[in-house]
Amino acid sequence: MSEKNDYEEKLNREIESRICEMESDEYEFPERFGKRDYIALGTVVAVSLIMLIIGAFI
Amino acid sequence: MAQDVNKQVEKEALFGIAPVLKKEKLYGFLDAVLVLSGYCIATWSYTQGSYLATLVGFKQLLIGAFLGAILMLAIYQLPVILSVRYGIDIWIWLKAVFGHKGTAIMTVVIIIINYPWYAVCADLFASSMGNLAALFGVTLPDFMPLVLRLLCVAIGTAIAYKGIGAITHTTRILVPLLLALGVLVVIVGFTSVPFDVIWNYKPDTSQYTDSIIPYIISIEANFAFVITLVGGMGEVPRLTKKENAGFWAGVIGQGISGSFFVVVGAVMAIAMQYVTGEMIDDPTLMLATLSVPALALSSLLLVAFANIGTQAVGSYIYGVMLKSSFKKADYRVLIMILAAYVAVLCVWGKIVDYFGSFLTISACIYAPLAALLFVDFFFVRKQKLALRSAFGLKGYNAYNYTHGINWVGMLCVAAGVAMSLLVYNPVTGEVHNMLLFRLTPTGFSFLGTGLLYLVLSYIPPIRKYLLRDREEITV
Repeated sequence: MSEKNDYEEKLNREIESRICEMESDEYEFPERFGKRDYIALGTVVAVSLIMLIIGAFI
Repeated sequence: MAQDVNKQVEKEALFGIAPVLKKEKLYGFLDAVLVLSGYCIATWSYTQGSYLATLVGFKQLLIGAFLGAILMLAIYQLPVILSVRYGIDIWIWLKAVFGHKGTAIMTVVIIIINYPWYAVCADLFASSMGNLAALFGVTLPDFMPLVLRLLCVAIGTAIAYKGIGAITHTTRILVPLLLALGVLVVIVGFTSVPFDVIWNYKPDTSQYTDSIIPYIISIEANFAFVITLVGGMGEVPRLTKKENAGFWAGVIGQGISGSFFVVVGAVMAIAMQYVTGEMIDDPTLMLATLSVPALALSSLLLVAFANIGTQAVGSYIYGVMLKSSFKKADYRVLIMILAAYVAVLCVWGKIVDYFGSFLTISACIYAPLAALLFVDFFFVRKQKLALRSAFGLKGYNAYNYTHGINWVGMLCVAAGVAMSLLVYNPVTGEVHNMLLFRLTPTGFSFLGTGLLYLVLSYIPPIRKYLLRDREEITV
């Protein structure tokens, strides 16, 4: 049981340490999903939906 | 030895739980496409393909399989950008939607409804072995299919029992084998019957009162097939370097590669029907019938290893998923419980007969879950999560809600299930509401649950209940 508690404590310390690193001003988050990606997404969704509707009449 | 495996899994679960920092990210777009392609390919894709071929013609099947999958993936997978950004699995974010205990409950529910895929796998293994024996003039006794199904489960579980080393070796062989089998099936399928037999194929759908019904059922099957990937959708993106790479890899890897194998299954079934008069989704039998028995023997090895390998990988993934929710449980005990569950389904023996029903029933839970994640991420929490509360660190209780359960989230899931069943009965195939059925049960449940949760989040007391984390936001 104490081994299992050790594991959980170790896990929590690691998580806290990583969150602190993300909170620091120096931390660089991954490049964000941008405007072009949203436009591409909208196009993919629209084309897929239209083709699915057309498919009903084939 | 037992301690070593548990330590390995604890390390994997630790890596699987703790946020992945930018410097630790492993995958670019192409790597992520390859891994996600491998994740969604299994021999059950052939079962899906042959099922679709009983509903629609080949052209409609192509549209539904590829574009139905891509449409559903493009919408419900968008929240993976949170996995890339914060390096976390979606199950960490879902602590905000369901609470800590609620998430553990949902993990168990997901496993209960998803694990039957491995009974499908075991059934494919057994039928391949039985068909091959018949080709060589050997009639297996009646009890053998059950023995073979249980053998697949036992070997797969034994591999998973050994932990991540055995799983890594298995997956390195499994994915190329499955790809090789798929290519073989396509070549044999298109060369052994005239092309226009497959291209112009249409099934007999005279049993349906309206010709649109089987098409909608096929779209529902495509939606339901891909939405079952929701449980694991964050695991690869959290290791990906850019948000768009994590997202597009999932849509393309799963929407194109996964759908390709579904279409392969359909090609196989259509070719077999043309030659033998029967829809068959067993690649072993197909290759033996349409080419040479020696090729069938090769495919036996591929199919046998593929199904056992899939069993092993599934046992491992869900074992680790359960261990993340139940940190103190022994990994080996967890996979034995999973093995017992799928063994019961194998004894029942009817999972493939009820394949279509099984897809929609599992989508009943997945669709609301995907909708809640989408709405919560983009509209309720506006892409901001209280990470310390989500990880359950001491002193941070924003997601404790009511004794660990966010009843708003849980009730929305129940409502989403009800919405799906109100439209269509997946067991009897009865359509209750034709207008809403046109959105497909999964589509309607996704939209309806999302809307319900969004509307509820604007009611002041509920908003206060949901958003007690705002003061803790730091990233």
